[in-house]
Amino acid sequence: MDRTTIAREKLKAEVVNFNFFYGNFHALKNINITVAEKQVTALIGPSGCGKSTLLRAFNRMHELYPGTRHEGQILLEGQDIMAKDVDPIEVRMRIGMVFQKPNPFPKSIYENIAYGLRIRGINKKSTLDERVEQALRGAALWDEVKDRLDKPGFSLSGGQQQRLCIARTLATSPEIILFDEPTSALDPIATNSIEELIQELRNQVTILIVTHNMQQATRVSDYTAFMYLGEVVEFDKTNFIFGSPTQQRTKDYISGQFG
Amino acid sequence: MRTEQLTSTILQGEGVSISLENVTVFYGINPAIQDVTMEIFANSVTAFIGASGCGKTTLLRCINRMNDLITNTQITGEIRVLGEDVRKLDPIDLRRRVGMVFQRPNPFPTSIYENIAMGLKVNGFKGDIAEQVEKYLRLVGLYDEVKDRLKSNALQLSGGQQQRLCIARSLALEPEIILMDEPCASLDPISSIKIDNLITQLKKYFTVVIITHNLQQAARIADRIAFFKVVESGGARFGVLDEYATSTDFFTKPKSADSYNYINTRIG
Amino acid sequence: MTLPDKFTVDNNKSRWTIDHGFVNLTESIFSGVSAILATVPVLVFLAIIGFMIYDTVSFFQVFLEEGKEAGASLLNFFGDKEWSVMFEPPEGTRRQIGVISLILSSGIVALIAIVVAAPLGTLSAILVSEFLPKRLSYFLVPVLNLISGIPTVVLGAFAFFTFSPLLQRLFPDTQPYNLLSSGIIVGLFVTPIVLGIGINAITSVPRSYFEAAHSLGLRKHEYILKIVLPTVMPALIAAFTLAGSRAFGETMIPVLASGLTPQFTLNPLNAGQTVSSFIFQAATAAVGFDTLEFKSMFAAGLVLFLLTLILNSIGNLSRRNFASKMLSMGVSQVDDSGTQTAQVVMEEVHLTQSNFRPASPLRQLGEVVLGALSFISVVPIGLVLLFLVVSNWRQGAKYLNWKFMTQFADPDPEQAGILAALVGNLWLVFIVIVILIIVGLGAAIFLEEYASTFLIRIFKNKKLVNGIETILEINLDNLSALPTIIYGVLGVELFVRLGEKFTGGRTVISGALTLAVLALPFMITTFRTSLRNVPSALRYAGYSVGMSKFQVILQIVIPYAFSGLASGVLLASAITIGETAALGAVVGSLGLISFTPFQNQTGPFLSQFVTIPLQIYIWTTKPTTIPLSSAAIIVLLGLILILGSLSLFIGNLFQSKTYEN
Repeated sequence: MDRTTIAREKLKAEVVNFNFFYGNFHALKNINITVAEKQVTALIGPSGCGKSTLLRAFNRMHELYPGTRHEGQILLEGQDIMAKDVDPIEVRMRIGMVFQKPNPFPKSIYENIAYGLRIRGINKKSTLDERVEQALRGAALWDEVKDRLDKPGFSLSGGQQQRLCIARTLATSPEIILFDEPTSALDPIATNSIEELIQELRNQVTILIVTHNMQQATRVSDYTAFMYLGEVVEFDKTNFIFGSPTQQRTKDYISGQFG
Repeated sequence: MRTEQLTSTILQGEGVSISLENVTVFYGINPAIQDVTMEIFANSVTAFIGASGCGKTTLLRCINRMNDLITNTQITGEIRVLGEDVRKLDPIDLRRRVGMVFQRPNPFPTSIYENIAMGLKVNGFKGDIAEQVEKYLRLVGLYDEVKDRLKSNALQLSGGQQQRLCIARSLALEPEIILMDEPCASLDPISSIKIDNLITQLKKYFTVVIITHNLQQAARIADRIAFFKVVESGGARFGVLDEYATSTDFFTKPKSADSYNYINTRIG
Repeated sequence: MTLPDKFTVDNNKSRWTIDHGFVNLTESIFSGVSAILATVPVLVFLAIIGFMIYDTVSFFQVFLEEGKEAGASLLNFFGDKEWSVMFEPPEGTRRQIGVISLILSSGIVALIAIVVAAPLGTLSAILVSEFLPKRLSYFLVPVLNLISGIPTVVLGAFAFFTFSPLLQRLFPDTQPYNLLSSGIIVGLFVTPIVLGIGINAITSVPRSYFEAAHSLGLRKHEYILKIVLPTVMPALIAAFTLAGSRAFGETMIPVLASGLTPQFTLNPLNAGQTVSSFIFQAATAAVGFDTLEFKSMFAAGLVLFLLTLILNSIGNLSRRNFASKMLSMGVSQVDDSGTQTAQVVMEEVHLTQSNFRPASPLRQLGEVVLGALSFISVVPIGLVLLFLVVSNWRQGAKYLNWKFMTQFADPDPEQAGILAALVGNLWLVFIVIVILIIVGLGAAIFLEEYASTFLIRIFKNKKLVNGIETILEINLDNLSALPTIIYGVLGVELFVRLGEKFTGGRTVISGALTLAVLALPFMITTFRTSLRNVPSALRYAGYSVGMSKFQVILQIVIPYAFSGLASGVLLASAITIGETAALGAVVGSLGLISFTPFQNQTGPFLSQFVTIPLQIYIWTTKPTTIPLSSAAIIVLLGLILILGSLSLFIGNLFQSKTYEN
């Protein structure tokens, strides 16, 4: 947990002494990591290690389900977004999320993107059109769908659906995008295009990604946190984690001894 | 004969336990897996591997005629278990002789004891049931963990314990063959390792056929690997047997390009 | 881990002494018997159609014969404005048989009911599935469902004695008997149909939409109004149709609150007779089997049957379509392979965080308003339930003593009791349950476990078989949604008239058979759901240790589903214990019964009988005995509450025993 490695980049977010409970189950134990601005931070580890739980804490998704509780802070530019007086909806407006399985709404391609903008107070048709196009271009989907924006989101292929979900998030100009295993439901070629997209986005926005695919973590991320049984075992620059891990458990995991 | 040829040239085996000849399985009119010919050898562990949708589970379920329970499956070709054509055997008797362990542990929602005893009773077991239950709970290393609560509900066990109970339940029927469909897929790493160890020792007494997606596991426990791949032809997608070799050969010098790719994308 | 020392496997085959011949024999007997039982619902359907058509034809024959001189014609059925079948016509004229006036009244009641049930049911469903914590919903849903469990004779009395006077204060033109009061109370009565389907539909909306919506910063009401409701609209429309159909055929509430005088009217403040309340009147009037009055109930019955069948079929079909649509929801409809080669074009993105307006406070308000509305939606049903309990308690409590439970009905209110009704009711329901368990479970097992293999063997075509199974299922759904009075008519014809030799006419066994036929479709559907909930992994485990299908069903499926099956049986008994309309038809003219079936020399099966709901109906119709009916209502509600909570309790046992994997 060597903060000095991030000293040169700007700190976007910070997790401080964070603990998380599902009922009596202690799912996250005293987590401390930092998230550098406009960098990709990957969370890896075997299933059940808490990486998704940590990711979902960033936009307080866990509050949608009863029986969860947390201690500690998650600071976004110094402000504790877990604090009681912060409206979770405001948090979610600033931090977007892309899920494991593509989940477009049962609406047209256009509406899928426009809806998030409307609730943010943008109603002017020309502005909406412009923003929808911009977001679709940003998600590398524009050329494939520009002639059928009124078709339902489901009419797209799996990979296109996932890019539509990314476009939907992009349109709302989030400061951080959370990716929860975004390619686990996709074929290799669609995966490739999503990975390229993440690389591209990195110039614009801070990204946090959960992945179970270690190759993916090495390909897309700048920093990697290896988690096991609710703890962060090791957190460092990605090439250090995979090149010269300091912890035995990290070594075992990345060399395929378990998981 | 073809059988002898295969045995002598490719795979040095102890004796053929299951033989498949030109087996094709259809769901309705769509083939799920096509034209499989192979022999599975007694007292060894054979792993079926391949991408999802390659029909390996379908094939496995043909061996003990579990597919009969899904309406609208049709099988062509011949499957022999210890020399007998499975179509001519009573499916109920066949399933005692060819046990099965499933992807997710599925103990009966009764007591631990009853989980094993039930199978013994329906098959008219003549011996001492309590003794048989204990013997097989010991075999899977579960006896010491549960001996004080044999009467409590099996669903209270952990996932790994449940799976070992399911293995004991099958083995207590003293089958000749045991089929395992990704038995560790829903288990934690430590429980998986326990089951791996168990499987490597079981082959002394039983023939084991196991499906796995975990190549590390396959390399650790299997003597032979059957690699299936998905092919597309005439608008249909179905599985075929691409390579069948000893474990060492398969992982060190795979013959087919598809196996080579599969191994390389999965390990590393 | 190492194997125990000296481990050996004994592969001696003689240790397995299973008799395959015997196993196969039990298998064929079992599947054969269950196949025969599964034909019962189909036979019921055919019997209803057959008798209705046969007797309707003979109704017209008698009508044409009687009114020959007055120029009677078949067209009068649709052309006449009035319906005067129950009145002897003056010389030289004929009876009026304009069924339209009855249909119109039923239609007004059904429309008002939909207007009430649609918003209440939808909002309560939203409340339960989106606003309330799970634990509270577990409590609230059964409470709201209570209103459907209350015998309609009780609700009818409430509509007439309490609700109509209230309406009169609001609209001075309201008649003592009126359609509006029936419509509103029937609306509350059918609200749980909308609620149930609504909750199912809303909870089937993929969880991923919920997460996607919230991750974009949508508020709850925005998610519900923009994402959930449009998605579940087809299911809701199906629910409104089914609720409307149930309201159209509801019998006892209009009998008590809208009067028994047929009128051609469009004004809901007027009295009017609905189709089903006419059937009830004709069935309980003391008339001979060959009279026009008796036969007229089949003609009206056929109309009711056809109209509700059409509505139910539409509702059930669209509900199914919705369910299968939800199953495929989110699965890509396009093959991925075609787009795999499409060039991915990357472009620069410009994220502009500053140009969003701050969130408007209106958005927060919207959430509060929707929440408040949904909370308010449960108030009307709550108030009615509360009122029923309190007012009946205040009126009837003083009669509620040991004497009341142990005396027979008597013209003198001080001496009267409900012993005959209580014993009669419990005895009847006991017989019904025995029949239901045997036939219902047999049929459910066949349909769930054997039907597809069986049908495929016959037809050899998967699509055709799927079609047949769907038709069978829809038939069951339709049968269980038919107005109960239709079953009353069927019971009168089949068991009272044709089967008189065996049943002795209007006896316990006729009543029990009628109720069993009535509850059978519901029972089979409930049993099937319980059987279907048994994880297939468990069945496979059974087969893998060498069990036959029969053994798997007997030793694994039924024990696992036991609490579900048992709670279904209790629910069915709660329904049958309060059934009034169908039994009223079977019992016919309601007289004073002062003996239990066990005291009658005819024996307990062939005895005449009375039940508590019928006794309540008898008592409500006379001013002096109204307080007695309150006392009887308390007893009946108590019984239903006990059965209902037992059913819930057993159902919850099932919940806690769920299979982890």
